[in-house]
Amino acid sequence: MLYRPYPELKGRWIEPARRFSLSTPWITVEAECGGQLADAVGVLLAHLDDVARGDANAEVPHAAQAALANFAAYPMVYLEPGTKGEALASCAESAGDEPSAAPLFAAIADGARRLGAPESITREIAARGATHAWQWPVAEALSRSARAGGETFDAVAAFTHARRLARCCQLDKNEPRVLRDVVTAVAARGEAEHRRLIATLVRQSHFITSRCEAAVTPALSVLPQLADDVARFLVEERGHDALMEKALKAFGIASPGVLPLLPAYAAMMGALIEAASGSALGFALALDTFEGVDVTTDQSSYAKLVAEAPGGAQAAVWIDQHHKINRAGGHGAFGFGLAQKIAPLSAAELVAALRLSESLHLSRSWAAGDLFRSAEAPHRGLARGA
Amino acid sequence: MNPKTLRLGRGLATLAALVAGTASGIPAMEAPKCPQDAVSSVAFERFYCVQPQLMKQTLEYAVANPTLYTSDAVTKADAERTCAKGTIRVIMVTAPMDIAVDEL
Repeated sequence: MLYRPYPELKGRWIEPARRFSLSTPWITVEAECGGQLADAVGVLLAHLDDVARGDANAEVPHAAQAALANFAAYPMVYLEPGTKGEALASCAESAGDEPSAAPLFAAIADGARRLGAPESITREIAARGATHAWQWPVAEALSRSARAGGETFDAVAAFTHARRLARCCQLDKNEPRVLRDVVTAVAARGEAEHRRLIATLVRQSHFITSRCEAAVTPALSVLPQLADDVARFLVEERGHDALMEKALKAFGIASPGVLPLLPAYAAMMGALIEAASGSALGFALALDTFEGVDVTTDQSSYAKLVAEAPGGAQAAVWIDQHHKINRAGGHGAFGFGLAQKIAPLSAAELVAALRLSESLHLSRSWAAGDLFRSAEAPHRGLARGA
Repeated sequence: MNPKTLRLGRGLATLAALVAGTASGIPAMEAPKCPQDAVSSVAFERFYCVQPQLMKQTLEYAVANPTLYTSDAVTKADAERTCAKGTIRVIMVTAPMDIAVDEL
């Protein structure tokens, strides 16, 4: 494979020839190196400087690629086929001719229904999706992933392309900031509303973890090349919903069903089951989204948000424990690992995976708004149960 | 067994390339390689090795094929505590945008 930095990647020495950092707006990695690898890192950092000065098309030196290879599992590097082809024009044309997101969101809504989301929610998901026009650049993904001959596409290359698009989508919508703004605005209304808002967030985590097995299980039979890993993943996921139940109980919530399920989270799980039912790359990308990055900082941002809520300290302990279990299990690299096992794709398979990932991230971008609306009208318009 | 003295019967670089090739279906020579001096290993300590997926697969492969790839009896726990000498070591990863309410 060839390694190429994402355009957002910046690098610098913290301690010359020994300690350095690589960062994008969504991830920062600090690392140490020595010996000949220090030279390779130096070449990489010089290349990143060249790119930052405007030489965006500069060829990536061989030594820089060797350094980048060490960071392939992180969302900062494109991997591309070593013997690259040009996507056949006929592939690109036929693969990108579905302008409407409505059919896929109807399927996602059905997936959410199968996972227990009530009809009011599934109707909402389908209605929102029907107005969306696809935005992710399919032709570019095909071009970067084409193998020799131009009729098949490398799954790892496509994965690294899509994971950047996903992060850019989050960045564009400024999701973490918007979520924090919602929390701040609701917290200003009083402790009870603040606590209820955060408990509602935890209730979404409970829905996600409690529906994980049902959403992922179709992959065991439909995606046989991934079955062994999926089976192991399901074992590792078992019991995570119990942690969320404990967190809810710490907030005084006896049953998750007394708080509303939000369309954003139901749609995300609908997208997961849809991917598990037929798109290997879409499934790998979905799990990459759900599992996040294996950060090494001590407490999760989510746990911190929960701890800041009145009476949230104990609930935050359970949230943080879930986070630590996933990090210890290396779940942040799970999607990337799956992508390495996927056979070359057709153009249609690649595009279907990208559409699924775009849908998942569009759904995710609804979260802060849904949360705010749940606080505005806690007893109206948003379904309970599930 | 002291994991610091774990010896791999064949070069870890070769093994890593082989595993990467097997996993991805691409020729092994195209696979990312660990540095050639990564034949012996050091303790894992607090760090985890870069290319974690590749390293994990490599060591699991070594554990599954001990007569081929290791000169010592080696357990999975030993292997997971072990990291190749000479690689870049990741010491901190932060993700400022991650408020993972949706974590599985």
